[in-house]
Amino acid sequence: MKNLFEKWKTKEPEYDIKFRELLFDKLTRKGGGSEQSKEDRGKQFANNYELYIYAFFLGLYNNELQPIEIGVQKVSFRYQISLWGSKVNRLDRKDFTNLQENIFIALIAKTDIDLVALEKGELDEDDAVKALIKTMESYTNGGLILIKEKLEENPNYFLQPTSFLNMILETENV
Amino acid sequence: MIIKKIQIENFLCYYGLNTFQFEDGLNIILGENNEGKTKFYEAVDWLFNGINNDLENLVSAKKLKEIALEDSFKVSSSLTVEQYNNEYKISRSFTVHKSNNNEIEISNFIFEGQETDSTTGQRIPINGQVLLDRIFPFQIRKYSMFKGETELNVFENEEALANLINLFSDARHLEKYTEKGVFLREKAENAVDQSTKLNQKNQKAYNILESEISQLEKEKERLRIHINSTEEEKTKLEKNIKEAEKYVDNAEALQTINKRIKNIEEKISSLNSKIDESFTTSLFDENWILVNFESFHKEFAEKITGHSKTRRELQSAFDKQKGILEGEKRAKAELLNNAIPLPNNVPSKAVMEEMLDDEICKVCNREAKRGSEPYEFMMKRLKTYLESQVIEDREKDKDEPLFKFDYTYRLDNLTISHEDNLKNLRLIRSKIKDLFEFNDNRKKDVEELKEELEKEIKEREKIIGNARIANEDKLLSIFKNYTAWQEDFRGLNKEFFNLEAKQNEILKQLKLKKEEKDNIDLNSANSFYLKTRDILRNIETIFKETKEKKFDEFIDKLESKSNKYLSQINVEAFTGEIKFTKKKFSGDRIKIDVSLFESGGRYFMPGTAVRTSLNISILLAISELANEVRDETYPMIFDAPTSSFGETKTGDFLNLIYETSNQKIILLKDFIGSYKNPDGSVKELFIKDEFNSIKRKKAFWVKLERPFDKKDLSTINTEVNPL
Amino acid sequence: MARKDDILKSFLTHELLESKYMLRNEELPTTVREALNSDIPIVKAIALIIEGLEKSPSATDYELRTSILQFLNSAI
Repeated sequence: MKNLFEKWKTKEPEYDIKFRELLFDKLTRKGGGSEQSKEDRGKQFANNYELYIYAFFLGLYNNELQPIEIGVQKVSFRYQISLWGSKVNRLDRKDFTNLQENIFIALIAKTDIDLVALEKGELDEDDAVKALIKTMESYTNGGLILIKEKLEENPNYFLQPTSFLNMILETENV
Repeated sequence: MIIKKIQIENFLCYYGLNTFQFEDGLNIILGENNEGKTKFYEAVDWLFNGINNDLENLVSAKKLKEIALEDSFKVSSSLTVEQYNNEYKISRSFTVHKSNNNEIEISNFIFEGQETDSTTGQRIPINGQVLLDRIFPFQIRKYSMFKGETELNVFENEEALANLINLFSDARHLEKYTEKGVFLREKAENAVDQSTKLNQKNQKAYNILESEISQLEKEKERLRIHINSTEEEKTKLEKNIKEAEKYVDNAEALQTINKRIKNIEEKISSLNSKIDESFTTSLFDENWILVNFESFHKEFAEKITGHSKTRRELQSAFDKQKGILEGEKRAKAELLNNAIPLPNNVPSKAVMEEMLDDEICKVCNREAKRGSEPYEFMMKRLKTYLESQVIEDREKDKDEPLFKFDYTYRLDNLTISHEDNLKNLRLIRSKIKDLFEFNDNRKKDVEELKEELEKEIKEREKIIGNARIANEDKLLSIFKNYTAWQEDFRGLNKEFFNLEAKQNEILKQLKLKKEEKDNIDLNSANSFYLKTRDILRNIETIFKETKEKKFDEFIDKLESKSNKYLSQINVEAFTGEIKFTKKKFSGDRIKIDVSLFESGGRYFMPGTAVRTSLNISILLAISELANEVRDETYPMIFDAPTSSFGETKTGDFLNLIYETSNQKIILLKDFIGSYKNPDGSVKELFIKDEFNSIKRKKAFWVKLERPFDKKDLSTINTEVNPL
Repeated sequence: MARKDDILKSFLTHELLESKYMLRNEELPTTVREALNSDIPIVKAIALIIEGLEKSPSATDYELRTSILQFLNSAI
């Protein structure tokens, strides 16, 4: 039995470099440190991948599949998906590694992969995974764009503790 | 004794020779701050008490600048008095020499006195110190000269007043009599004792009695000391308690409120900690981010199911195409209608075994008795499954399989496991709603509590504001101490009563023993000695009690006179009275406590102005009494005694003082007005019209010669202007 | 002089003189000189003491005691 999930988990997805300063630096507190110090700086995401996951779902729920433009420089934060949500070094948080599966499920659902070809051996597993990753990066990109637009509309929008939550809740009707 | 003249020469701001002529009665010297008023006082003080250290600092800078090199001048302060129709002069001086290189040399420090014979007019030199002690003894000066308002507070020291009374009252004359009375009586007692002892008859009993009495005396003395110290402690405590009593009501209320406030604050803090606003974190930790995920799961499930079916279809077709010749390898039970078989592991092995055991197909609820067709079908399925689990150790199959890999299995599993979780996803929205509600309610609770808190805090402000101490900490510490003091006081009181009871017991015993002894004496001693002793005992009593009576009389008089003055000064409309309480302490020391009581008897804690009135009233009363008792009067010199009174009250005060008998020299800064420059600095000073209505014998105005530069001392020169 | 007499007066007003010696106020002398001539022992004794202490220089302890005892010897 082969496990596509296991293979996919080892990847480090990327994002458009322009969002690094714009959003990641602003909204996340990279590296270790307590939840308290994160709060103290008014940054709602403990680290990069949290924002990444968030943007992914935001883009997913809003159906904003926005592939990163060709030629644009991409960067990753060098932290493979399999580690996302684990409780290592984070005393006051819960484990949410289960979200990895949800992302994977969504990607399978939304990506055109010829499973038959894959199982016949005609399609390379790596290529399949690449396709999944591309979908992931595209939805995330869409989400990041939405966040960026919101910030431009109202720079103070995200100062509220409920703002990120609200953006997700609002997508119910999309 | 009256001061007729004071002359100040080249002393500090007094350049050249400055003369003040005084008269008996009230003399007033007005002066703005820093213009010579206090320097006047200091000149007189230096005259009386001056030492020859740091004399350079006393020299008039202006004179020093003016004088030519190699020239000298005198610095002096002198006083001319009249006593018993004679005139005396005292002066303290030194010479200043300005050397070639602008340095100062001090020399010729003199303190000399001079008597002017009233008949011949001849001047007779007298030793300065001797003369000073004669005309204005130190003991008296101590209570005649006061610099500033706080120095008036001579009666903080309880012994001071006792000393003062001793000084001015009749009682002091009688001091030596009490001494001699004791002496004579003791001698007489001795004589009797000796005489008695000579008589053999009662010697033994007498000796025993004597030693018993001596023991008792020792015990009595010890007790007395103990009682005195206990009394002292009690007094101290009482004072503290009285002072605190004013504040205690407030302090108690304050404590209660503080407890309430703390309670509310704790509740608020606990509520706040319950409010959970970590929404963004919950998106992950609580998986709220999956709130809208269901549809995607459905998509996924459909895709996978679809694919799984497709795969089985293809496999089936493939298998059919190839033909199944090795039947036992793949014992596929054909399905009705050629339907696509389910995957091998569905239902699971455990379920299959269960159904076979129970001989029922539990999916469609039909019998599958052993041997029947359904039973065999299920059996075959199970076998197929089991065989498919076995790792086949065979040679490479000639035929290539259709599907090299199986991703479906895992993906299927994913579908199933997440299917179960869907119900949790559906709950997320309501969980979020609940949380918001919870938070809102807690926030409402907090708001309510905050309102309550504000009310309590306002209440507390009121309490603190009403207390005379604005400092909350001090109030609370007073309250803490107050309770402790009350307890201590109760304890001390008990102890005190016990001691007194013991003392009474001992006194009783002593009396008995002494009577016994006297009886023996009467029978044995020489009657002459006895009679003498009797008389001297009585004389001792008379002396002692007369002196005490005089002392007490003086205090009574002092009390009533002080109250008379106090009511006349009547500052801040205080209507209460002064009470003097005599207390005896160890070794015949006497202390006098001075307290103020409001009408109604409540102990009163005076503020500054009332305290000043209190002190001045007592000083005036003492002075008046002293005049009655002694053969002479002494002047009193006050520097700014009534700063806290204000100008109007000071005026009243001066008019009152005017009526008192002895000479007073009072230095004040009241009644001076100023014309200001546009930048606020003083252009010119003037004496206010109000001063014209102040009754006095003599008045002066000391003011600095203008213009002057306060940074350049050589421009400082005080002019003395008679008014 | 005045002072001595005042002192004498203040002593003689003590109630002991009445209670123990049955002496009424009117019977008592008003000046020290008078008192020195009194035949009431305690009165004269007091006067002697006053005389001794108020003179200048004042009497020593020895002087004082001697004069009292001498007097009392003859008086009692």
